[in-house]
Amino acid sequence: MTDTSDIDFHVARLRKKIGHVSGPDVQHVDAGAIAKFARAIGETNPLYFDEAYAKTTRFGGIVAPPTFASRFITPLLPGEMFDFDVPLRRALHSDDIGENDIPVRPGDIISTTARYADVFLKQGRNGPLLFQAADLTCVNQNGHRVALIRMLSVNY
Amino acid sequence: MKIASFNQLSVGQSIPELLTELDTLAFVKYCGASDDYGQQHWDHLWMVDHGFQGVVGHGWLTFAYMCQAVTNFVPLEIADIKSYAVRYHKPLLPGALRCGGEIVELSIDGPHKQAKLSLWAKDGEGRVIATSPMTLELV
Repeated sequence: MTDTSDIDFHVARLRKKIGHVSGPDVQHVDAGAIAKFARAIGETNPLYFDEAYAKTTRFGGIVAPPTFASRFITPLLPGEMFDFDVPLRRALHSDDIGENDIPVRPGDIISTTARYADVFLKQGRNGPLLFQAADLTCVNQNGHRVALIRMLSVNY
Repeated sequence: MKIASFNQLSVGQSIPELLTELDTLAFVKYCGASDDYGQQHWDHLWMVDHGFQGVVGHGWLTFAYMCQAVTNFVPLEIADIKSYAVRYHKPLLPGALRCGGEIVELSIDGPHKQAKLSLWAKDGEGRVIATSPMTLELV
């Protein structure tokens, strides 16, 4: 049986992290990384692989798949942001809430910062659920925002 | 089937289902491609020790296939995925994955043509493992 007063202690401890910022983590994107990512998600659209085809599209060249920005956030999570040193030992990724602004292209240099945004408890069917949220902002070399993602984890 | 313009969309229209089969090798490939080597995605014994049946796939891998169901129908060449809010209800386990959804709203505001979608992903048993609203902006 989980001691809920112990969980409350950890929620109070984690609340002190709200507003903490990590990063920026800087990543250089090349066509190989985009193609490798596209293959790993089963994509066959030549937009991600074939420069000659991609030049004929509105993009004028290869772009990354819409979820490629997820690649930028992993260096900042979970160790830098989510804290799993809590009495609920099972942890899973629960939500991604995002906005895509402009596509990622080969040659981009993406700087990502993460902000510890929230921690809260919910009562699940089988016991307490401890959620943590982080806001991740990805900006390219021209200062344009590429993506904004709120990512949540749950311990239970 | 791919649509070629906003005019071919209608409210209530289904997004053709995408069906794929993912094994643990697919999870490991995604670890490499996404640079996410979280132990839950490749270390079976560690997962058993943490109360799971075995490895689970990345949430983002589930969502990538949900996006692919959309872009197979409304290609990226004519539409941007502007926003989403995916919730992972159950872990992605090795096996079948089905993704689909429907158009729930269409709007035109000046040059902006938007489609709002309701998406789902199901496992091989038909259990919903993820859901998401999504907004597309068509060019």
